[in-house]
Amino acid sequence: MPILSARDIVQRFGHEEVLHGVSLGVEHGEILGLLGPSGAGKTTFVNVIAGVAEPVSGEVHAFGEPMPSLKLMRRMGYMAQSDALYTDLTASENLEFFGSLYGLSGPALKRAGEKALETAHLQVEPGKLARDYSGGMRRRLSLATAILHEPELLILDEPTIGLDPLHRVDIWESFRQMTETGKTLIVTTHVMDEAERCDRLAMIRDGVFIAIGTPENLRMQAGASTLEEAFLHFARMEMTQGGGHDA
Amino acid sequence: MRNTLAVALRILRQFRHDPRTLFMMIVAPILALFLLNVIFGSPSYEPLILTDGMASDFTQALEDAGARTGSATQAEALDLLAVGDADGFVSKDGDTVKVWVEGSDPAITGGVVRAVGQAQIEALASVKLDIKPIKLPGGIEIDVTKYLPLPTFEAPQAPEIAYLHGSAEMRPFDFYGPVFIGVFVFFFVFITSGISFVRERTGGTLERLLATPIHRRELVAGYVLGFGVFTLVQSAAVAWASIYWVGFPNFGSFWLVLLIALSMALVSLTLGILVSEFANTEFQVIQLLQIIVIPQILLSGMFDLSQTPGWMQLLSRLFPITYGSDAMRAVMLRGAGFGDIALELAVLWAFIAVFIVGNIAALKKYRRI
Repeated sequence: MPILSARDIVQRFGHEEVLHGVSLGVEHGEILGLLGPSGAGKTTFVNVIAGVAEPVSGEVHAFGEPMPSLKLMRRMGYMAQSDALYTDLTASENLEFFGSLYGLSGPALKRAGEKALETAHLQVEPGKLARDYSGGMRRRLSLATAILHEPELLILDEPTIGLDPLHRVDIWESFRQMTETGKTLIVTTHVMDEAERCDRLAMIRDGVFIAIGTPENLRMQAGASTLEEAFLHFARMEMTQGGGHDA
Repeated sequence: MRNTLAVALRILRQFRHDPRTLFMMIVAPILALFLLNVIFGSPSYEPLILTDGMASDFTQALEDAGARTGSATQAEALDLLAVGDADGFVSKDGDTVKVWVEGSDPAITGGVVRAVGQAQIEALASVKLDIKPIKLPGGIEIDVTKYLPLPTFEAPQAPEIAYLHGSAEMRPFDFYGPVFIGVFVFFFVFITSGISFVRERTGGTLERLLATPIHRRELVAGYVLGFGVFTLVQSAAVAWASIYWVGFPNFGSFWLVLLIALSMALVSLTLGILVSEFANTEFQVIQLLQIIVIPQILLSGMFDLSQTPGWMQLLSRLFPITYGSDAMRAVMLRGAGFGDIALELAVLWAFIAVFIVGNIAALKKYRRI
């Protein structure tokens, strides 16, 4: 049974339909990548499965139970596309705040914070406000707040955007280590080499999944040597098959 | 409950790292109150009234009525009026007294007219009847005043004034001071809370918060508690400075003044958060302030509404600031106790409850649970 399943999700903002009835299952212990250009609906989709946005129709189940549910959200972690930090608080105050919302306190909270910072490859300076950190450091702090409570299912929206390539490699190593301890990750990206590191990929364009499979499978199906070519292949196929979602 | 405390603690920590906001929220209203107090507490203006051909009794009476006087011909006087170096000119045109005024400032015009009117009454009172003895042929004079019951004129004695509330020392502005205390607290809390919540939305932290297992009601309660602690400090500072430093008269309990100010601040806080739901930027919060707060202030009792159309009086009864102002005046000017203002306080707290429920409902837009 998938750890998370989304069925026929439709999302609309005003008159504009952003997701046209998409479905997806995420298996336990995998890194599932959502690959697509900006404006494809990646963020809208992860907001729906994370329970922070109400879809117009469709259902999401996590751990076999219907979302949204506060009980299930306790077992999930979410990193937004924006850093979503309180920039007028210090790094540890941000960690303490988000940690306390998951019921952590005292020494346990402190330990969890230290571990999360280690996983996010971030060293913080006491007393320094979040707004005084560099963009890349804030990104990693944002990641630390999402993994602090050791969620079983982690939803990360463009976690490595703006990071220096060295940190990006470190952080993907951390992601891989997390799956080894039984965690499941959903990661959005528009960078092809990151997509290559995922166990499975869901390619999304204009609010529909145009292909789902392992990176290798997708390349083979498309008869392409790179994921980029594969994406173009599936995008063209979707268009010729008369996607029918436009207007 | 734990989550509520976590949100409240976070807000207080944010304030601690932002001493400028802290300073502004407390100092700005006190500074405004101080300026108002100096402006309205200054002695009233003494108009300069020029006269031509008026009796000395009359000019003396003008001075008694609080005017400065001088003499000038009509042509000179009108020139001085035109450039603003004099405020009025009085001359006799046959039997009627003619008064010229500059006329652009109704307050000064009123002062001139009042002084002239008062002087006329006083001059009339000081008229001495000059009745000459009747001369009969043969050199006999009869003093008729001895035989006739003639009326005597005496200047009326100043009446004795008994104060039910207030005192003779109160200045006209003191009637408005209590209203300003509440209005300033309301105004500054609205801006801070509205902008703070808009930031929460635009910065993505609201979405981030709603991805945690926090209840919507816990989030709203945390905001009310966190800002509540802060508005308590602010209200106390403003009320204390207004009464003990600026010197607004207070005939009631300081603690009641504080309770009213805090209640108004909480109305403003919950309304500010609710309104920020309709703003996408900080700038739009200020725009909404102009629509939602300024009319409330105008109709709060700062100006007398008793003669305005019925719809306006009704409208003022729909605004929370009106109840806060009424209660503030009752306590500070008339020494009202808790029982006298319980109704106004109940209305304020009903507004708070409605806005809190509204806030919890508005968050449903993001997450149904």
